[in-house]
Amino acid sequence: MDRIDEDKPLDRRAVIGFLAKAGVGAAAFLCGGAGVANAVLEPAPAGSAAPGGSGPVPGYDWTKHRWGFGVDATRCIGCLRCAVACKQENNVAFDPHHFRTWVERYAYVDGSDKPLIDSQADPANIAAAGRPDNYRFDNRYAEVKVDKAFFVPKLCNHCTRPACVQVCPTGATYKSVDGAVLIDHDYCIGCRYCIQACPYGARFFNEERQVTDKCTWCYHRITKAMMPACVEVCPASARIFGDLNNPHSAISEFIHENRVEVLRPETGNGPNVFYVGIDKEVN
Amino acid sequence: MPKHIMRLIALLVIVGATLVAGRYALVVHSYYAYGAYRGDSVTEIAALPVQVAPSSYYKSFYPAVHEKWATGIHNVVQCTVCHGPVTVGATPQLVKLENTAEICTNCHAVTAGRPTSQPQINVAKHSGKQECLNCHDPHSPLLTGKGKSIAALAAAASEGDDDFSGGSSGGTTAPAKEKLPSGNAALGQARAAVCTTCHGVEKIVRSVSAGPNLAGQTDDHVALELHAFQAGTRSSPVMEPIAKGLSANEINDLAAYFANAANKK
Repeated sequence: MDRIDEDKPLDRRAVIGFLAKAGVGAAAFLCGGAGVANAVLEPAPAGSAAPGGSGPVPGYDWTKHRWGFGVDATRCIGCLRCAVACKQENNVAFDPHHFRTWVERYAYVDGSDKPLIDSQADPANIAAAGRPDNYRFDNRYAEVKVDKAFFVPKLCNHCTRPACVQVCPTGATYKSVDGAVLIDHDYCIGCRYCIQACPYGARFFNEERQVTDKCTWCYHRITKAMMPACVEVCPASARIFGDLNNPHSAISEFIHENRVEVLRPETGNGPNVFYVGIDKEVN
Repeated sequence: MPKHIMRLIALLVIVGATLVAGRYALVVHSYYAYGAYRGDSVTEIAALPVQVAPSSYYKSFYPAVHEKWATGIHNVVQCTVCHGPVTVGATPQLVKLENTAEICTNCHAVTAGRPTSQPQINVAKHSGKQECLNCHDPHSPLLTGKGKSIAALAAAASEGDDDFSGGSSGGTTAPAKEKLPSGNAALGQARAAVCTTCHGVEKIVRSVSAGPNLAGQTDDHVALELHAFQAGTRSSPVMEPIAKGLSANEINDLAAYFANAANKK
């Protein structure tokens, strides 16, 4: 080391420090970014230091919330106003095949223990609606005896351990700190692995933009202290939304007062949409 | 230091600097600010415009209608459900709804799977596919006679008080039905000749602009609504003067006639 000083008058600390930085930087670049390296190389982005909030959304502290959703299927009247409002709110194509939230009908015809299932995408229901920008269920069971029939609203379950996030190769879908599973449409490459990974069929492909799309719990509304559009318009109060961190929120009371269940718990995704009044065949 | 070691170090430094500069230039800065995703995308998603405005947003634009809606049974149905979305910040254009038979049946058509607590209408039987607006105010759709006793309506008529604001019974179920004195259908038929000019004799009235279908309505309904017109709790420039010219017995006769008319359901 002495000879370095003789040949070139370099500061030893500078050389070591630079080599260390370069090495870490190279590792970070090769790995596609590691948290430690990032912390060394650049400070947190300016947006995170917004007044009144901690996190990327100005005026909203995402560390203080843990959102949850409830569905009371005993109250759902199958009017599909939720699906219409969702499309209006989130600019989803007005056709009967692309939905961020939708409704299914389970009907047990007399003498059968298997339900007949239809949704607004059923051809007869499309015909009943008559227009591409409206959706409705027809009265197909008018002539038969139905043991029981009920509607089940469906949407993204915003799972605690989401399979869709695990398979995303670009970091385009992720779990936010407050519980919503979101999609970065700029980073989505449209590979559709997430659509296959989701056990609930909650994701669809937006052909127009060539990206995957799904429910965000109206993240742009809940961060402004508004309800998701579907909850806002539901005339039967079948949809409940709120903060699980708050023991007096609508969702906390809904879970406290009812015996709730989640869809497909065996998949281990840990869904955060809690159902009341559904049957064993619903999944 | 040997020359080849110096060259190696220099090469490593150049490669390292290129990698650092390359990563800095190519990776979005907010990436990994919170996790393995672009932190700015959260900001972008949260900044999307709100398009389905809450009903409170309409209050300053349409205070009278909003008040009627807020006190009626339909205050669970938000403005956007029928009137379409409004971006918050924009002035809502209140669209006068024409196709109420379609809009109302989104929720109120008889449909398997609907809970029995939901009022469900067989439109063909109920009104012959007339516009629901002909009888019901969508902002407060309960007819004024519904859920009221005839005695109460008569008292309202005599006192001229306006305690009865249309449809303000707030969704509670009707009180126990008053047993109406049964009228004389034959006498009613003679008097009903005037009614059928507008209301028709057949099951389906002749035109949409005409009055609602009366044949086959329950006698309670016809009587209660006539009393409501008398009392002024249901307003109609046509029906109010007609109803005020009727005695209680005549109303009962008419109700009996229409309830037993040919197209009894």
